[in-house]
Amino acid sequence: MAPFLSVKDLSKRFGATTVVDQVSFDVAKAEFVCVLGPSGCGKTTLLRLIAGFEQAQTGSITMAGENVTRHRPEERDFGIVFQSYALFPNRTVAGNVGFGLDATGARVAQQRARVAELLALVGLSDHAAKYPAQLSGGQQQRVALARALALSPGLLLLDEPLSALDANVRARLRLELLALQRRVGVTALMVTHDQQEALAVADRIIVMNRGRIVQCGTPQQVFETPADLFVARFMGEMNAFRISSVNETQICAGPLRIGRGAHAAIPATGAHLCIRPSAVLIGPEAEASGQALQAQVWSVLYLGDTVRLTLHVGDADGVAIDVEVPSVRLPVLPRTGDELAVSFPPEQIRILAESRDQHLGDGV
Amino acid sequence: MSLTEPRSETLRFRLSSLAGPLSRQLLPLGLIALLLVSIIAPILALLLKSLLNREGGFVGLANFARYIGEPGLSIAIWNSVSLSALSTVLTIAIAFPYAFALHRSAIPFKGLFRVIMLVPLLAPSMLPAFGMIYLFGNQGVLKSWLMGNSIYGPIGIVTASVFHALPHAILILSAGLASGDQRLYEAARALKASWFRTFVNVTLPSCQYAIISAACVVFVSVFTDFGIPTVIGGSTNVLATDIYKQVIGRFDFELGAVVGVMLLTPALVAYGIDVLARRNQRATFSGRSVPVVLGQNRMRDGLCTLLVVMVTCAILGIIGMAIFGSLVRFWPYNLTLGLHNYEKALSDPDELRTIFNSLLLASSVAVAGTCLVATSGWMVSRKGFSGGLTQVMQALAMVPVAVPGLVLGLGYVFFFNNPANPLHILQGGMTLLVLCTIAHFYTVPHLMAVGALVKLDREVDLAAQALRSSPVATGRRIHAAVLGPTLVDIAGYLFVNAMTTVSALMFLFNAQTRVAAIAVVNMAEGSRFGQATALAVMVMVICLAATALQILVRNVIIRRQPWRRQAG
Repeated sequence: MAPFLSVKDLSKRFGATTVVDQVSFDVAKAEFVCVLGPSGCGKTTLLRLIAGFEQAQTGSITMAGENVTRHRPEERDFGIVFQSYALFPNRTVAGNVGFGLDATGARVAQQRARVAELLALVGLSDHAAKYPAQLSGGQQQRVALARALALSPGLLLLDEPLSALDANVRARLRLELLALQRRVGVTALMVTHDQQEALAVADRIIVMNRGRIVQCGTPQQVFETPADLFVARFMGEMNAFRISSVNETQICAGPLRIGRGAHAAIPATGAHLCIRPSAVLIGPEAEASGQALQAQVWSVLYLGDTVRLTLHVGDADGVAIDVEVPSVRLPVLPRTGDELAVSFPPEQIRILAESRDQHLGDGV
Repeated sequence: MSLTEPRSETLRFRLSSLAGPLSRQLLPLGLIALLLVSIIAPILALLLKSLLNREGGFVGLANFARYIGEPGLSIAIWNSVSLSALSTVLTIAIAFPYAFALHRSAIPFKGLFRVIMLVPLLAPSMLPAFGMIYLFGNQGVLKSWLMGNSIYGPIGIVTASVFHALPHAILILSAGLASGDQRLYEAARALKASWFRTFVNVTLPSCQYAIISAACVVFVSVFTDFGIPTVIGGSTNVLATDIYKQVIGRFDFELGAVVGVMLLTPALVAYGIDVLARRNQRATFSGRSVPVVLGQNRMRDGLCTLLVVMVTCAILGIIGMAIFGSLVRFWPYNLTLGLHNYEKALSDPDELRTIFNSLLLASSVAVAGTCLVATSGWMVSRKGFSGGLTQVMQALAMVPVAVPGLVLGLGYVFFFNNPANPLHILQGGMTLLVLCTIAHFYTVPHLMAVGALVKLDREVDLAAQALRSSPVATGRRIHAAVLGPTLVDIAGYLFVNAMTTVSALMFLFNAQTRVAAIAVVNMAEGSRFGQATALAVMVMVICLAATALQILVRNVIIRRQPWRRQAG
């Protein structure tokens, strides 16, 4: 099936800086795609290019088979939800949702029915006569969502729609958003800097950095087999040890020695041995693996659900390893200075090239 | 798209894609052209005139050289600079404690004091001068207070100027004092700083830019004011009256242009200082500051109350004295009260016409000016239009605040009197007076409109655009409602200023278009003080009524906009 949205070699420069750099991707009909990246990576500009609020210098945008690269926003078939909600303050909830319907030439009764239908869809039927200032943030964002869907657009664009909301409202609205998208069957493209949000709702995640797409794949692919250290660190915490030497059987990173195993191709420079803190084994489990190293506990942070340990392996030049263990598995907390066995399950080890932008990667 | 008929939609798109780019360019271009003609061209004409001789030949700086050779010039310059500087210092010295009392002390009847200090804004600048004359003039009731000095001259100019400039200064300083940061005061207290140290290190720095701004505004307004020195200046020559003498008295337009340039220069310098100060202010402004909480301080409140009562008594006393003087039959010999002066002033059809002219001018300026300002403020703040054009528009809208009315008015004479100019036909008509007055007062209303609209998130426009609403339709359906109450305030501001202004119109009126504020000056020059004061009081009463109407209409609009009320 032909993709609903197709972006090819899209580039946008503001003065000397290239904000979107040769970006290409497809979105299938009814797919939910998240564009994920740190602030300033060009993701919002990409969304604005697709909406037509900005004009690309090169490249093309195709929507439903039609090349819309030079179309004005009014001529493109999309609805949009902003982080700021951007509701019309002088119109009621129903007036906001019906704003776009007035211009369609549909009969008033038809318009009313459509507004009622949309308000029922987002669960705000009781609030139709209220003004935006009388609603909570979550309710306002639901109005914005209903308004964006009013003209039954082929594409729903979401620009950090949940970022302005409280954590618990955000989690609930995330589920509602996903359910709504599935029910309406609209193709959705959401921009966010929150990797949790992207992992939770997306069929596919596009990770951007410095105007370029770094990786594109399902949430599992992006989290479990990141393309480089930047993606790995952006998706979650990651231990990364610079590889010092490689021979036929072993990979060495400081005092760490790992069997070469399945890691056939190792980048010539800047390669790191990586493992997520939650994948590291400690104590009896590590000893059972038969490849345990002795480590010293440097710090212990009790976080409720989990316990975070920083372990140290080797002498003064050794490495620090972050470990995250469910607290139920540690009935007795280790103490600073304790000796502890640690091991890396081979299937959890990733060999990753240095991120393209070390600085940004470190910040996450 | 279950609701839309595809045919009508494609048709609408075709129409809008034709009309869109056209209106997107034409509307701002038209407005820019209007601003160029009404603001920039006259100023350029004045600058050019100062470099030409009577026959239109280029003479370089010869006119300036000729003017410098004029007897009495150095005195006029010195008078203008020194009297303006003195008035500025005195105005700030009174306005700062007054604004401090309104915002940083717990004085009683704050609302009342806030309103009373605004009253001088509603009268021509000559009214306080008349009040001074009735109090301290040759026949004044308190003449002995001056210990033999004459009110006609520097004393009168400075005192009347301070009264006239006071409300402007208090308004600007209030803005600075209203935005204090309580956290800094708590920090100062924790560090055991005395009240004085806290004042010097926290309060003053937080409003230093407001002080600079207020000082610049006051200096320029006194430096370029024409009405006060004419009425109460006696034989004291200042630049603002000199320009009038050169142009009207001696028909020496070239020297008039030279004086215009000399008035324009310090105004531009002051404006530049103000702009620089504001730029620095933005860098120090913190979005997370906590509003100041007033502590208990009997001594502070007592002193503030005393000061505010004294200042308001002085304001009311001077205005009241002017009103009293206008009601007296023949000052100071026959103190019978009555409307004698009013009847006498209005019995002359020429003087009666000035009132109707003023009303016509002020209403036209209010209506046309509000429309123009709404359009330019809307275009500049909403960015639905080409960015380059709106930047030009914003820059043009900022020019008038730096141009003294006398300079603009004289520029109008040079630009529109030129028979080669097709706009020459406007010369001598009320339209030109309306245009000049709108141009003169353009900046503040423009900024009011921009200020009201930028509060609305920019993404609202994009959301409307995504729902296929054109910029004009969004303006009508969304922005108009947001802007509504502000438009009423703008109309009120323009009306009152058009009623009371003298300087910009001094060179433009003729017998048919003379307005009341100018008639006040003419009567005063003819020593008809009673009638002049009566006319000035009538102008003030009309302005009071207009302001009351403005408040009423704005409140009605706000009451009809339930969306402005937050959830209870």
